[in-house]
Amino acid sequence: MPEYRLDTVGDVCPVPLLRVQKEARRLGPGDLLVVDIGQPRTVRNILDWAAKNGYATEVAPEAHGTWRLGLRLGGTGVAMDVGKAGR
Amino acid sequence: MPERTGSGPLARYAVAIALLPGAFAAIWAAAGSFQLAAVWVIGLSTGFAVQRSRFCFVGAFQDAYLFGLNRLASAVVALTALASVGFAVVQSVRGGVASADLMAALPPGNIFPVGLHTAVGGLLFGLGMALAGSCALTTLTRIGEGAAVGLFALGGLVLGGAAGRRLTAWWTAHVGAGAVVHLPTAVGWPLALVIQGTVLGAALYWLNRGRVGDSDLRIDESRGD
Repeated sequence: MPEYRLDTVGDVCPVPLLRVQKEARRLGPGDLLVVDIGQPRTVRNILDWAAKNGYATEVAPEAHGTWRLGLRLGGTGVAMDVGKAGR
Repeated sequence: MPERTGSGPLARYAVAIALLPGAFAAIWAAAGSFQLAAVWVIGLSTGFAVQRSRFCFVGAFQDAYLFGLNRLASAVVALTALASVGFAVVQSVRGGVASADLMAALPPGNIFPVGLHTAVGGLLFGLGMALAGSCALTTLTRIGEGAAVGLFALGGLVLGGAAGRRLTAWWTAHVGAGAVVHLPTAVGWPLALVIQGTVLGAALYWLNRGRVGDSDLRIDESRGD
């Protein structure tokens, strides 16, 4: 199960979700996409979009003002510790 | 990765609230104005609500148009409905007061002439917001969050606002004032409120059609603040 990475820190809205949307198309069932995010509103945005489109998500704060979000196609959970996914 | 250190969010809120009266008194004393201190508290509270709710005017349009996410757009419509009631109360009271002063006689709420310049200005403003990635409101909260790009947007806002203030008279004189549209003046307050309520209610219904559950509103910001 491949793991994809995306760093959106520094991107302005709505660029992060546009990039996530594009990247998420590559995901097969069970594949993981790990996204680094620098804006709380973007976290909310991606969570809303993921819920609407059938992705399981998990969020963990990474450092001051950045979050790491895991996105998996299908299933009920991301089943991973996004905080431990190394850079 | 740094370990979680320091106090939790609740403790920090408690500290902030405890500091508030002192800061209020300091501003009151330094500026010699109770009103200024009060406006500061209102501004602070508004900023807090905007930051915590992730509210954003430009985001509302972007989310709905690009991604079919209508949560923020619903919030903007609901806010407009709420503000309409507030404006109705204030304007219907103030509007009834006769005054020799033109500005005082106008209903408060910055009702300006509509024309081609409105569309051009709106387009420019929208372009600026899209480039900045935030509206005027969230530019301020993002500076508070530490986003340096917000400072550029703020510079643009200040320049644009100052230019607008200087150029409005020129526009009005040379391009034409256009019509001043104020629904309650045209049809009266009761009908205006019914029309406004119907349109906004329909918009809310349409935005929330087929809506399923939203994602959990809470995200752990213990280290993110």
